[in-house]
Amino acid sequence: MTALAAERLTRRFGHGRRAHTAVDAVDVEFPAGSRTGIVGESGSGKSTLGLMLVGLDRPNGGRVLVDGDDLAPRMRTQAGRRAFRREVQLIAQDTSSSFDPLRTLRDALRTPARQLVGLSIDEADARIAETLGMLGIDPAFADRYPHEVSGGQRQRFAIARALVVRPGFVVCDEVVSALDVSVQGQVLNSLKRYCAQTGAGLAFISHGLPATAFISDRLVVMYRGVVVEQGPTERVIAEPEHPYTRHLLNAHRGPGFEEHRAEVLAGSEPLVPASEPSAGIAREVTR
Amino acid sequence: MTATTEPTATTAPTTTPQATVTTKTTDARPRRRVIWWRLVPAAVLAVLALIGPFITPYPATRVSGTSGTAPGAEYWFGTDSTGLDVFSQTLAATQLNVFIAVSVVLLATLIGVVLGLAIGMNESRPGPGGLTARGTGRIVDFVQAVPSVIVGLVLVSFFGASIGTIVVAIAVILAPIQVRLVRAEVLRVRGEAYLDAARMAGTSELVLTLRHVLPNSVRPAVANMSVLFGVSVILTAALGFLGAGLPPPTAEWGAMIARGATDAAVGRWWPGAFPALALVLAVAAVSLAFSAFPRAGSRR
Repeated sequence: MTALAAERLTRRFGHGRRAHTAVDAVDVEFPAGSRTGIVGESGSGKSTLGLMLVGLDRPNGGRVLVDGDDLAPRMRTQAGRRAFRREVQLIAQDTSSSFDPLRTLRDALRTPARQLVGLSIDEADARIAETLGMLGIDPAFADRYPHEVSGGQRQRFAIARALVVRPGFVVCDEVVSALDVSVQGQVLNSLKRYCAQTGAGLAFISHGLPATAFISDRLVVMYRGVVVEQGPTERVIAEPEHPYTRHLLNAHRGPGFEEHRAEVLAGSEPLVPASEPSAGIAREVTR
Repeated sequence: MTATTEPTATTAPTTTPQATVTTKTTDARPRRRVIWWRLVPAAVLAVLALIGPFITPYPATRVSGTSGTAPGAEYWFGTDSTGLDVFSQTLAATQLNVFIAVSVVLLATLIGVVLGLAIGMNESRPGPGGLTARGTGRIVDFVQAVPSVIVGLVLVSFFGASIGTIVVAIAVILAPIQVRLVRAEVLRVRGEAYLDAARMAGTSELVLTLRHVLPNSVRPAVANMSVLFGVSVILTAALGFLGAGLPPPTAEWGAMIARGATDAAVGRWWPGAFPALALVLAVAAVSLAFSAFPRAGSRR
């Protein structure tokens, strides 16, 4: 289990008058084993925050703490980076470029298993098979090239690529936004199951409130680079304090939302109703 | 954090739909069939380049007949104004021209790939690395801005006219094209999500550049090699025409075309036309050979 924390984390882009602060002195704690949802509209800085949490982007100010220690010195050496990435993994939104088009999916999954965990090829393949089974993917797909599988399959392979090292903390950036609702449910359930079984922590970044509420026990609401509200999911949804949170909730409210929220808050219910997508999700898809 | 998950609890609820999908497609790899017949002309060219100088009917660099004989049974391509057999010269020149062109294309592409990768990966970086990359980029632009023949003339007159200097001079002239092609692709590939994924998998920047960026950015430069092959032959000729090429008796298509131009002015078309035809056929054979290979790992 790994705990992460953002301490006065700041990221600016551009210089002078065109400078833009994407993330502005953000303080968020991700305790070990917690599942934190980060919601906010496009441009609110939530993806930039995610990139800094996994060390792919460097903050202009503040720091990321890993189990209480500063991340920056660890990222300076190859050994430090590998040790950190063994613990903390990122799953990014599916695009057609999330896998190298010239290499098979198996190749992409072997790399972290071998470089971060130090497995042999045979051990890596066994680990890959186990991980794919965990996510309900036919292992035969692993020998295909990225353009030979569907977007939903590719996204599940991206999840497998992150989980193959059995990380103690996973940052998910819009992992289900590009997927259709039935696949969303499967992906969210397998992520939740992984966290429950291994005790791994999760930061779930999404503009979709229902999916985020389903998977997370804490919610962080971001607006224009700052955290406007954070707290337990039920509390934030039931009694939002900040006007922006209320606005965000209202955007998702509609016919069926109350029932859906009740189901989500009840916990065990699958996110996606069997018959028709809830109004909340339908709105999320069409935005 | 590393607790292994129970496979029993995690096996997917429904695997049946996927099972039906796998039976549908047995061939997982993309079709990458080489169209073999398209390699035949280039293979003939390669054979001629190897044995050409040894199977000429007359010595290629010695006077073997009356000057200005029209093509006929004895001299298939006729003789030029100095009495050299045009057929023997054209055949013998294949070796030198193919050698120069292939060396130039390989050298220019090697320079292009190395500089293109280095510039593309570093130019937006702060500090001395980025400064060096941007500076190198400007130098490449400058070399391309100066008329190519002048660059060639300077290099050849400075280092002397030999096959080696001609190869280097023409490679330097053509390399900026390859550098720019590779750099433009690197800039595109650099933003692709699979690079961040590779970083997350613990891949170092050098390995990442060689394993992911390089293979995904060389295709336009490789495709351009067939064009450069033709251009390099023409540049060899241009240097020869300006007196910075190989000395006159040397059998070389460009020099032959240049000399043939004066013959053409007095109505003798053959000394220039046949090497020109050989040049056209060689360039066509090489581009046809390049088209034999399908686009690997097509993205769309």
